[in-house]
Amino acid sequence: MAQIALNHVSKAFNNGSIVAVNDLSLEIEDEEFLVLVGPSGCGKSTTLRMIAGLEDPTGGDISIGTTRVNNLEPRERDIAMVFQNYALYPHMNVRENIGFGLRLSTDLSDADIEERVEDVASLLEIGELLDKKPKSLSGGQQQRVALGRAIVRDPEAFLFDEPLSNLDAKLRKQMRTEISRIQEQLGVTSIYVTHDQEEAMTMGDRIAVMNDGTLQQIGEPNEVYNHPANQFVAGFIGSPSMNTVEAEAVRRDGQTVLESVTSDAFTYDLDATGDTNADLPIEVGDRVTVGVRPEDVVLRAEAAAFEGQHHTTTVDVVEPLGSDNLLYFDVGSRTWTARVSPGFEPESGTSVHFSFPRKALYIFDEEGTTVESRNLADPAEARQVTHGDGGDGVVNT
Amino acid sequence: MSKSTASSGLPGPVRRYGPYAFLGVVAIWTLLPLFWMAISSLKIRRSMFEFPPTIFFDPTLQYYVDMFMGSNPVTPFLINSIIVALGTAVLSVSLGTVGGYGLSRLDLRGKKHLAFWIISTRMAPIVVVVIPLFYLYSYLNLLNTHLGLIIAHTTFNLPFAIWLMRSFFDEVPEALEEAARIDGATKWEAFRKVSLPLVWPGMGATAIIAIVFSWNDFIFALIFTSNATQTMPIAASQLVTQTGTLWGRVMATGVVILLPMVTFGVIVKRHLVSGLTMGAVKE
Repeated sequence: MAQIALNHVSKAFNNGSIVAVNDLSLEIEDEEFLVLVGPSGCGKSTTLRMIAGLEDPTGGDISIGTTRVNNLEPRERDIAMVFQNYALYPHMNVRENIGFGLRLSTDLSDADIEERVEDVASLLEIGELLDKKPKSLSGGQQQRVALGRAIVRDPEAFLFDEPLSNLDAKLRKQMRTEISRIQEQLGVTSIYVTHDQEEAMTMGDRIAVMNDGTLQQIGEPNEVYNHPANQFVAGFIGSPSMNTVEAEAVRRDGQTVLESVTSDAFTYDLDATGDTNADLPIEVGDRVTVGVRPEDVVLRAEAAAFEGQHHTTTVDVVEPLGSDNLLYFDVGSRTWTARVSPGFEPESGTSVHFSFPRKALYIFDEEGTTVESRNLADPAEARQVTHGDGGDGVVNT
Repeated sequence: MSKSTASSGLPGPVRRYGPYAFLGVVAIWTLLPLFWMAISSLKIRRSMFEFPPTIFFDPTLQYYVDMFMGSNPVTPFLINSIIVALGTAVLSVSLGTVGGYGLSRLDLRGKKHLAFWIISTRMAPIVVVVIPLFYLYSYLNLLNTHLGLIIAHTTFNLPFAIWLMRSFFDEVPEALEEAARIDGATKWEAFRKVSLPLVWPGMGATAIIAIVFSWNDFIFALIFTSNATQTMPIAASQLVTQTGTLWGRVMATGVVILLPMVTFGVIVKRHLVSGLTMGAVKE
């Protein structure tokens, strides 16, 4: 097992006209499960391929363990990779597929190879498939074989390139748990690439969010969720996405008020609770973006239910999910989402009232950098708070 | 049925039997001359030219016996044809596979132009290059050798072979080779153990094209060979003599030329049609 380090790694294509990865530095601890997440084309797969040795970085160093691997062939790096399309060898049966790497890279006898293949097959519950060709397997079974091919070699690190994206939703969740379980059991350093923020949140010890070839933030899932470094991370992590509205800080009656810049008269009085955060680096006249997580939005049918400031809106669509309902409504020409309890299901077109606690507020400056992120010890806290309850804003830049 | 008639605007029976009728006409068009050749090779000379032709007659194998046992037997020609055809196939498939792989996988600047240049060499008619090649061959002492004919045939087959093999390699996902390289294979091993087995059908198809070309070639064989290395088409042409055409042997020779190709075609047809990457990748 080994740690993996990327030191100012860059990758440009077409003589530098396309920069896929830009000055990326990352350290993956021994036995850690790191998820690289980001939208398509953000450079996450290219990063993984550079670690695998399938692409050469145009700048920077990559090391696995204590060895700098920039000039090593993929086979010399002692890593295993699971591909999005599985990349099983179609002319070999499952047994040969799993044993292929051992035959090439070790001096093990046929009997030893056979034994290890059988062991891995039973770990993945594909023992009865060993003599079948990949073509005759289902997607989930092919996925297991691909996993087996990686595990059997007992490598320094596992690299996963969107391994679950070709599976249906149910199987994906099942395999997600299974991959996490196996990784924990084997304790192999793993890098997992996905565009699915839910996979990232549930699987990673830490997640690294990338966009446009640049690392946006790296941290534990809850930390990234609660304290995103910028507006991109805030919008990307979390489903449904964070609600945002562009606003301007103004002074009104001696209070600092965030006022929506669009026609809709959305305002949020930062000082209403009397608990002003003096450190909040917002000047009057600053353009900011206000963000609230869907689960932090409090919706009530009656305005009287709120003690403090609240707003009135019209329900657009209600999506019942069983465990809770998603309500869509417009705020400052943006569509907002609220996650509410399943009992609250107003007709679309009805007038409702919403608010959110001061502590749930995210504020991003004009560059999108987080000025303040939410400070709720327990996300459920939001639901109990029906009015803006002041608190110390956490400044996270 | 009424629904489908409405949608296509054709009456039901035409839609249903039309394709068969069309294919039947094509089949007769293609097969009748071959059938004629085959039965003529079994007729004595007199009945060969009877009109109306007889369908029932006493077959004779005399021409076939003559062909192998009589004067100027066809056996050496047959052996030459086999040597040249196999040599051409081996050379075309090996070079075509390597070239096609390169064209498919390498990230070359101007790859399109290179590919077009390769196929453009095939655009000149054979007669244009025969004379210059003759002079070159005479300097290189390649006239009247099997190797000379194999090289000439390969030159003309190779552009097709490269293009064909390139399209077969294009079908093999690169991820398979990448997986192999991570699994511990060198680039060469990834090519040999993963990609190559998957383009087997392509190599078969390329071999057929090479063999058919070489087996049927007349011009190169006529110009570049003499007694020791002449092939079957030359043997057939020599039956047109100053004293008359030996029609029976012409027909029998035709059958002998045709038979190996037909047998070969039937055998490999099944392999050619079978799936190429065999479900390698779930897209």
